[in-house]
Amino acid sequence: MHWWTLGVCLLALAVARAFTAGSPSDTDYSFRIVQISDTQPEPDKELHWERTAEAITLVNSLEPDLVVFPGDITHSGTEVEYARMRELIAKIKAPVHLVPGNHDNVVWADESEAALPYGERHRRKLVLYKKYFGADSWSVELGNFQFIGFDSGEPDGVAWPGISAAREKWLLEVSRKSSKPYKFLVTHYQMESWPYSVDPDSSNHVSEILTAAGILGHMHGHTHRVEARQDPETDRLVFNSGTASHRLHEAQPEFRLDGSHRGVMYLDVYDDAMVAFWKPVDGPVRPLGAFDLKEALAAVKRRRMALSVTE
Amino acid sequence: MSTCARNALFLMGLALVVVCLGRTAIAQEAPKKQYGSRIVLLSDLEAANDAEWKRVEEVFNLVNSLRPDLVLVAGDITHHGAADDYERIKKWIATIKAPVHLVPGRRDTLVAADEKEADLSIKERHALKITRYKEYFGEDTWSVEFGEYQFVGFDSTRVTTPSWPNTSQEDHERLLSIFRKSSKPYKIFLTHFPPDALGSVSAILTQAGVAGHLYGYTHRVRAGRDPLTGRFVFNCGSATQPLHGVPSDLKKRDHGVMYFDVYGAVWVCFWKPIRGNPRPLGVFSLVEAPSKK
Repeated sequence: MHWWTLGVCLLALAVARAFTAGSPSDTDYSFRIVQISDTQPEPDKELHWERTAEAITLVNSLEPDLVVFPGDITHSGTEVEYARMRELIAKIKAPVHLVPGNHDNVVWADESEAALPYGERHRRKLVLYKKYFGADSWSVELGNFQFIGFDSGEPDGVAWPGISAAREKWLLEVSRKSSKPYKFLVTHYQMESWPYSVDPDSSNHVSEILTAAGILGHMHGHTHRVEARQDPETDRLVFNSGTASHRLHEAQPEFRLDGSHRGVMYLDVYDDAMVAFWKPVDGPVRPLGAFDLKEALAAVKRRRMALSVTE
Repeated sequence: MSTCARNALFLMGLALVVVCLGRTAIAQEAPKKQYGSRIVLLSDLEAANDAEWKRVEEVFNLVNSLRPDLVLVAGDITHHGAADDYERIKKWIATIKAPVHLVPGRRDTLVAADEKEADLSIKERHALKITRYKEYFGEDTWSVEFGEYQFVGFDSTRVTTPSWPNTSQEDHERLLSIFRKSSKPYKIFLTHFPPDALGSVSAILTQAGVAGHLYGYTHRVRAGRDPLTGRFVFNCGSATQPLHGVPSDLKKRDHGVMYFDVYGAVWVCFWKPIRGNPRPLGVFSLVEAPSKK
């Protein structure tokens, strides 16, 4: 056997790949983004952990290019829960970008945590979150997209859902730094004024911050409702995958048919358009909508112009 | 045999094995499809010269690369319905690895192929040319069941008045009985002419509870809802000719086809140009189409 045997093998493999690349494919999108959230398995409920493991298997079966995980990773953000969730998330065969949710760094795990004021509890629990999942705010680019994630439960927020003055400045800077036109925000809390906002006044203010930062899409969790829509008041594209391990919000009985009450969302991107699908763990795929990114961005930019006029 | 030749033979064999193994391994990597079935719609092939026949070849390769489960052709299959055009296009249609169902278009049944045909009245010409069409492609009105769907094809170029294509009471009754024969919940209509050129047929479709209408003729890509009838309407533009008045950035693109990925009662509609990536045009839930009156 000669050293060039290896060379011939490599060449043959390259030839094989070239042939295969030219063959027809069922999946012709540029890339696929999977959104999974609100797994929050209770520490002593094995059924929750089994369901979470099922959801992770589902994510891999969709062969994503990028995975976003907008929070409520754990039930109460303890070290044991984080360690177990990190082990499960490590099985995902794609880059995973996470932000914490209220179950991770707001909900108390015991009485001593319950006794702490919100700010202090959040600060302590965030340290643990970061130990397991890294930074609580980040920016990543893929194709024409910039994904920006941050912790929307920060205690010094000017309003609920929380965006502090410092976070507002950070968001504007981070979004300006990237030349990618399609900017998608990833947070745990919803920020649109319609229809599920807890505090309409503050969410209007938050909406303006996002519009000023040129945010075109928002991927969030928290409400356990499946959503893929263009918000009529902001023109932003809003995506929520519901919950991967629990029951969907009772306001969405149509998604609970045939036991299909937990699942993930995926977005197939084709140049300047995307198609959103919801995939329940135990049911068929549901296409939810197709979105023209160029048109939506033009609408968001018009709103941004209107903001600067009124300032 | 010399050592060198033996080595060369051994390596050629090895390379072949590696190529085969490599292809198998890579083929298994391909993501599996999520949709239930895929339907391709193409129209307005109307090739008249070498450049256009070249495009026909490209389009048929494209259709096969999409791996359709069903292919529908919305007329103007030929430039002017001459026998040699039919011979040539039929060979291309035979290359499609899925069932293909067609309806005739204006160019197939109404445009004169020679002076003799030009001398005929439009009604006589249609009678002559539709007979020729049927020799090649069978019935001009048909019904096909596919999953939960009934597809009904109809010759919208049939002439009962000298001025503009129209239909008779007989046609209406026949059409309605075709729809009623099938128990499939979702009924889809295929013609060459667009919804606003169907005249009194439109009322029949409403009566039959038709959810969608696929058509050609205008060379304009469209995927939406007809404001008058509430039906979903789809036009794939032309498979070989430049598009007319298309939305947003489609106008820069080349000729192409439309395809639908079917998830139960929900269709995801794409337009696929010969060159470039597919463009999703919308998600259509046929449950929301108008119900039977």
